[in-house]
Amino acid sequence: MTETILDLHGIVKVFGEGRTQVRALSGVDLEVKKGEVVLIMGPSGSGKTTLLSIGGGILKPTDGKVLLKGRQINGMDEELLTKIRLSEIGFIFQQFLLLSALTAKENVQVVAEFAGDIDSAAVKSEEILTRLGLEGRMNDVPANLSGGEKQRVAIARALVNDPDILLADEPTANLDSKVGHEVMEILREIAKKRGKSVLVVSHDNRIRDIADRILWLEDGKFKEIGKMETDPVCGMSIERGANRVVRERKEYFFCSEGCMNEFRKEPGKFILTNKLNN
Amino acid sequence: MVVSIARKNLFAEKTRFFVSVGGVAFSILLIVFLLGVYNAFQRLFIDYVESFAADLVVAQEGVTDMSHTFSLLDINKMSQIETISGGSVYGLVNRTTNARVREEDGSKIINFPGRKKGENKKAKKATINLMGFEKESGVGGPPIMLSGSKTPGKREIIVDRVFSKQNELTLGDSVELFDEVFTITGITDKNNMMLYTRAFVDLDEAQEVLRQKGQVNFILVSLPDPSRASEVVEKLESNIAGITVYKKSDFAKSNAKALMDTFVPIILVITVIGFATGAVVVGLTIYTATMEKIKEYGVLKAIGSTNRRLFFVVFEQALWSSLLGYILGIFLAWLVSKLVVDVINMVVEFNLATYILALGASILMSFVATYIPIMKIAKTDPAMVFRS
Ligand SMILES: Nc1ncnc2c1ncn2[C@@H]1O[C@H](COP(=O)(O)OP(=O)(O)O)[C@@H](O)[C@H]1O
Ligand SMILES: [Mg+2]
Repeated sequence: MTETILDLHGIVKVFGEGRTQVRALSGVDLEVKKGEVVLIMGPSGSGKTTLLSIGGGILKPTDGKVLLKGRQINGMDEELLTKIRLSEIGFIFQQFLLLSALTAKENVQVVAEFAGDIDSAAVKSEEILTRLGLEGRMNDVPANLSGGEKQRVAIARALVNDPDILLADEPTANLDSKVGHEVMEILREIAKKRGKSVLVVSHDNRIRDIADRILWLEDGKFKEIGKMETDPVCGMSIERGANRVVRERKEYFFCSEGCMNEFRKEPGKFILTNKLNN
Repeated sequence: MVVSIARKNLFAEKTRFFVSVGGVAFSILLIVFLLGVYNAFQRLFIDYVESFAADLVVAQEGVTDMSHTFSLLDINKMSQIETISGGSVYGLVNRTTNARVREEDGSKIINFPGRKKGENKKAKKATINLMGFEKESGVGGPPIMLSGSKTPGKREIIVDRVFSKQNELTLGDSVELFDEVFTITGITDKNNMMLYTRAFVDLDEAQEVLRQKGQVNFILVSLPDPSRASEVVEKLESNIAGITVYKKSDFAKSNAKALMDTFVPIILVITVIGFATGAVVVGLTIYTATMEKIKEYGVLKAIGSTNRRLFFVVFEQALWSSLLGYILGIFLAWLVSKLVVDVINMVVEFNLATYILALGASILMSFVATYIPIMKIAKTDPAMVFRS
C-alpha cells in the first residue's frame, strides 16, 4: 500500500505535423511509487527524454494523463504548474546546467529562495551540500568543480525544496564510470533513506544495478518490464533476495529483516491490504 | 542575504559591465551637461531682469523681450506713466551693436586728440548689448560688480568679466562705440551671453551715442504698493496707447522663453541622441549577456521560476548599469563643467530638476534595454534544457 507519486497514463507525444511528424511516445503507462528508483533505458531517440519532460510537467503530452500525487498536472494553469515544478519535483540534467556565475552554495540557495524560503535558504543549502560531501566546495563556481561535484551540486539543488520525486535525464552520461556509479548511489540512498521517488532515464548500462525497476523503452513504447517485487510491509520495490517468506504458496520479499519479522508476526494484515489495493 | 543572480552575472563579466556603465555615463554626461548649459543660459536672462529694482516693465506695444523684438518709447510717456501708476519711473536703453575692442594691429584703443575714429575697418570687434541706465538710481544697472565703480560717468562703461578677459582689457582700457571712445571703469559678472556681452553706460550717454535723445527702449516702474501691480498694468495699458506692460517676473520669463525657444529643438535632438546612445549600449550588452545565458534562463524556467522573476533578473542587470552609469555621468558632467567652463567661458548650472530628469532617463534606459531580452526569455521553451 505504497503511495503512487507519479502516474503516467496512456501518454502519447507527437512532435510536428504532416510529413515531418514524429511520434515520440505512443501510449506509455508508468507508475512511480514513493521511495522507488525507476530506471528507463532504451536506445537513443526512443523517447526517454520526452517521457521524462512530460512526467516533470515541462512538456505537454499530445494525449494521456500525468498525475502527480493523484493531481492531474497536464493541462494545469502554467503559473501553478511552475510552482509545482519548483517545490514538488527535482530535476537533474546530463550537462548539470548550474548557473555559471554562482557558487555551488548559491546555485542551491537561489532555488530555495525562489520557493520563498528566504531565511533558511543559505543554511539549508549548506546542510545538503555537506551531506553530499561538498563542504569544501561551497564557494567554488561550477567552472572549478569536477563533473561529479557538479552533478552533486545539481542533486543538492534538486533536493533543496524537498520534492517528492527526482527526475534525472542521463545523469551519468558526462561522468566516468566510477563517478557515475557514485552519483547513482547517492540517488538511491536519497530514495531509500528519505523516501523520495527517483526516475532516471539513461542508456548507460553500467548503472542498472542501482534501480529497483528497469523499463525498456523502444520506439515510444515499453517493451518488457523487468519484474520487481514489492515489500508488502513498507511498500518498497525490491529485487528478489534473501529476505524471503513463502505464504499460501506465494513468495514475499522484504527490504530488510525488520520488515520480514513484522510480516511474520501478522501476515494477514499485509496480505489483506495488498488485496484491497489491487 | 538573498542571492542576486543579476549582480552575480554582472560581476562575472566585468568588461561588459563597464562598457554598459560607460555607455550610460556618456549619455548622462551629454544630457546633464546640455541641460546645465540650458539652465544657466536661461538664468542669465531671468536674473538680469529680476535684478531691476522695479515692479513693472513698460515696452512698446507687442514687444515680448529684449533680444528678439525692438522696443522704442517716447520719453514723454514716462511722466504719463508716473502720474497714472503713482510710482517712480526709470528709463532704460537697450541696443545691440558692434564695439571696437582693438586696433587693426592688435594694440589697445587709445584715445588722443586727432585719433581718426571709425576709420579702422579691420579693427577687432565684439558684439555688445549696450544698456543705458539711470546711474543715480542704479535701476537696470549691472546686478553684480567685481571691481570698479557702478556709476559710469561721461564716456565711461562697465563691461563683463569674460569680455574683459577675452579681449585682455581691464579698468582704464578703452572700447569704441559709434565713433566714441569709452573708458572701462567697472567690471561686472554674469553678463556674458555667448553670442554677445552686456555692457552698461549711463542713460544720457547711451541716448547720445545711439542718437536717440528723447527716446528710451523700456521704462521701469517701481510701485509704492507692489501688490497692486496687476491693477496698475491694466490701468496703464488702457490709458496709454502703444504700450505693453509686464510685471517684472513675467517679463523675465518672456525674455528667457523667447531665447530658449530657439534652442529647445536643438537641445531636444541632442538629448534624444544621448538617450538613444545610452539605451543602445545597455540594450546591446544586456541582450548579449542574456543570449549567452539563455540556457541558464531555460533551466530556471524548467526548475520552476516564473517568467516574471527572470524578467526582473534581466531588468536588475540593466538597472545596475543605468544607475551606476548615472552616478558616473553626473560626476563626469560636474568634472567637465569645472574643466571646461573656465576655458570656453560657458555657464553651466545643474539643479535638482536636471538630476531628476537624468535619473528618469537612465531608469527609462533600463526599461528600453530590457524589452527585447525579456521577449527572448518569454519565448524560451524550458524543454530546451534536455536537448544538447
Ligand atoms: N522538440 C522536438 N521536436 C521534434 N522532434 C522531437 C523533439 N524532441 C524530440 N523529438 C524526437 O522525438 C524522438 C524521441 O526523442 P527523445 O525523447 O529525445 O529520445 P531519447 O531521449 O530517448 O534519446 C526522437 O525521434 C526525436 O527526434
Ligand atoms: Mg535523451
